Amino acid sequence: MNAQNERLYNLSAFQAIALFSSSFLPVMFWIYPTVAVHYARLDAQWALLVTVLIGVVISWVHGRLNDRFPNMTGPDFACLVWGKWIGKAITALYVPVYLLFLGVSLYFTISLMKYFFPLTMRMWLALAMTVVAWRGAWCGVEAMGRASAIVHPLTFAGILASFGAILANADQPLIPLSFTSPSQTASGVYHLLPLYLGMDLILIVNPYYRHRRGKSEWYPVIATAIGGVVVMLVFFSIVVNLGFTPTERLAYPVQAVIQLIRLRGFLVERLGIVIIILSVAYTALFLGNHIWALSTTIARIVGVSDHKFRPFTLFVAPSIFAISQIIATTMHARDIVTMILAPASWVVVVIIPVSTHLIASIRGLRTDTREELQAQGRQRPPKRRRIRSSP
Amino acid sequence: MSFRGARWLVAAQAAALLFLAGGCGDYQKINDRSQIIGIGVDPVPDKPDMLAFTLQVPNLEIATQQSPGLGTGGRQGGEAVPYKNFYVEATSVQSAVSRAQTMYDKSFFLGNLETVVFQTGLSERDLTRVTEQLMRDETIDKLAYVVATRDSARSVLEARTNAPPATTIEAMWYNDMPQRGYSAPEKLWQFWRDAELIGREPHAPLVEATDDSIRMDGTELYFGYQPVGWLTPDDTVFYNFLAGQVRAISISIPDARRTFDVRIMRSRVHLREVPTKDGMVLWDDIQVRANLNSTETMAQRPLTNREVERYEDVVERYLHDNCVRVFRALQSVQADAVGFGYRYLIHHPERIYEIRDRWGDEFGHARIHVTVRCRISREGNIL
Repeated sequence: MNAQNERLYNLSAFQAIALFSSSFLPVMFWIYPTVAVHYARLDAQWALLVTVLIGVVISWVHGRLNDRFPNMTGPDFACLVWGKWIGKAITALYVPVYLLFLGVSLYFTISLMKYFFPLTMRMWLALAMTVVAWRGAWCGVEAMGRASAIVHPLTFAGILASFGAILANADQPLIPLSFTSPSQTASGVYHLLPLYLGMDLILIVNPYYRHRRGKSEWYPVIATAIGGVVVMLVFFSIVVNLGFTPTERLAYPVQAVIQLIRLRGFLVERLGIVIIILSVAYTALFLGNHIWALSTTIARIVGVSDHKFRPFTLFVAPSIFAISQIIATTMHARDIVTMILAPASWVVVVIIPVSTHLIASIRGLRTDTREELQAQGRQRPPKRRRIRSSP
Repeated sequence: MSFRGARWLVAAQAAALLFLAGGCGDYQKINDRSQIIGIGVDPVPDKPDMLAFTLQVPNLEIATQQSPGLGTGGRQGGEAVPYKNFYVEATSVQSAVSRAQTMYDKSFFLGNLETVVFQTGLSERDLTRVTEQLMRDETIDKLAYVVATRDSARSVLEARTNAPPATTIEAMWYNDMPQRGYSAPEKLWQFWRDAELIGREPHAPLVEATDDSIRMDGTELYFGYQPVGWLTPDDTVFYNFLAGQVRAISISIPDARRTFDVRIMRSRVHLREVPTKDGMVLWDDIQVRANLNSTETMAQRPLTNREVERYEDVVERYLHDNCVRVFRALQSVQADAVGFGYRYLIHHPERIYEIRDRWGDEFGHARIHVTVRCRISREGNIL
């Protein structure tokens, strides 16, 4: 805690949003249209919309929670709210879930890279990505924030442009507008929530960005909304081209559909490779974020300062690599997502943060009495004011 | 400052490492590779599990052999064709490619596939199997065109065209051919999609090898993967009107004993499907924008407004009658190649199982309403 003041404003608002926004999606990104259509049939777009809305609301809860305890990391205020041992137990629950989540995400990414590098062994692809991500995590959250601020806008622009083009290419753009079955939609929502698994990273980044009343609680919401735009756009561009029933037959619908457009006279003839390059950069960034976050979480669980996270990356990064190597087939990975990560994401993304927030407000616990959270704060030095007005 | 300098040094060293990652480890000379540009599939009469594959690669050496003036080419023209075909019997595309590799010294790759030719005698099971294999293989270009033939796929890919037949077929559509209407092209992924989609059936252009070219011979209709019927080249035009796919084609319109010519610039279509007690009613509103190519008066005097309106009426009546005829032909084989069923499914998603199981029948017995609205926007320059 003694380093509190010097680390307070390490991430700008833009960096924080980019960091949050690049900390979810990869685990299901390549398969979620298939999952959505499989469970929700023709209500798939409603299931997705509900999932996105849940994600936005939950991210707002995360933002509120952070603003309530602005000077401590997630594990610390969990201990404050739940009591020391229950708090530690709850935080420890995140570790296996997130290790599995990161391993599966890495598996899906290398499965797609394997298509472009058919002669390279999976092991080397996974190793390369893990090493890059680990190196990033080693530099700490400030470096990851700066990297996110570069990679995330590029990825977002690339996805908007390419999937917008695919959407415009469709020969019969038909989307169902009527709503059929609540039970199918609910089943779809239940299985789609792992899209937003990874959001708990917001809690651990808490002391590293500047908290301002009425503003900082919206950073996670903006980040999640950006993710929601991507999710909806990609889904629509797939179903208007392929239709609902064929989408269900594909293992990797996103990858299938990016092969279908060929822009003549464009810089690159196939957009697919561009998207793969962007997604590799994105996944490396995402893994780096989470290796840092998970190491910091473990550091706080065992009671070490969150600046001393580096030794723990040596456990986290190899574990992720090992899990990605143990998974044998796509179906295996999909089963892990539907059987384990779907229920787990309801627990760690929805139930734990919401109940933490509820208990904190019932017990009236808060640590946000610092000057910058007060509506009429004391006189601040002009330098800080300038930082405030940056985007 | 020294810190910043050190950082640049590290970055430069890291960038220099990229020179080692040129990706040339598995380099292959372009002369050692050969693209498979056409795949033809024929049934084998006695062996139900076997398929006869024709794999076509461009023969790039022919150009150097025949170059005049150098005196190296002994034979002039004669048997030389710009492609090589490999004929293999196998159970799958991939094993056919592997077997064909034993007959050729260049390694095959499928990323530039241009045309897939299916013989119409392929059973539903065979066609399902082959399409699945083609879609499953990650290296195959899903943008290849699918065509059907009533002769044999082998004979189509053996046609004596200037370019390889697979390229010739692809070129009919690939270059945004202006005459969009006398054929109904379908890409490999669209063929697969329509076969898998509830409420929409695939089609493929029929082709036929003639003496020195390849000729369009209409459109083959499928129900799922089962060939069920075909449309003549003339009927294909009206099928394209029903589907709103006509661009810039000229057709002659008979009017009593005379004819006149219009150039259809663009057709649009508005589809509706209304369930009633006596079954479905399918509406197909066609809007046509046309230019006049020739008149019945042989341009002896300027056209009056009233005459233009009469021409519009004649076009509307002619298109209506023929579109209804083609629609009935589609209904008689229950092949919903326009996609009414899918539209109905999108508007009534709760009936998905009903539509999946009974749409062919519903479509076959539906009442149809075809309306055509034509607007002749230009009568030309001279008069």
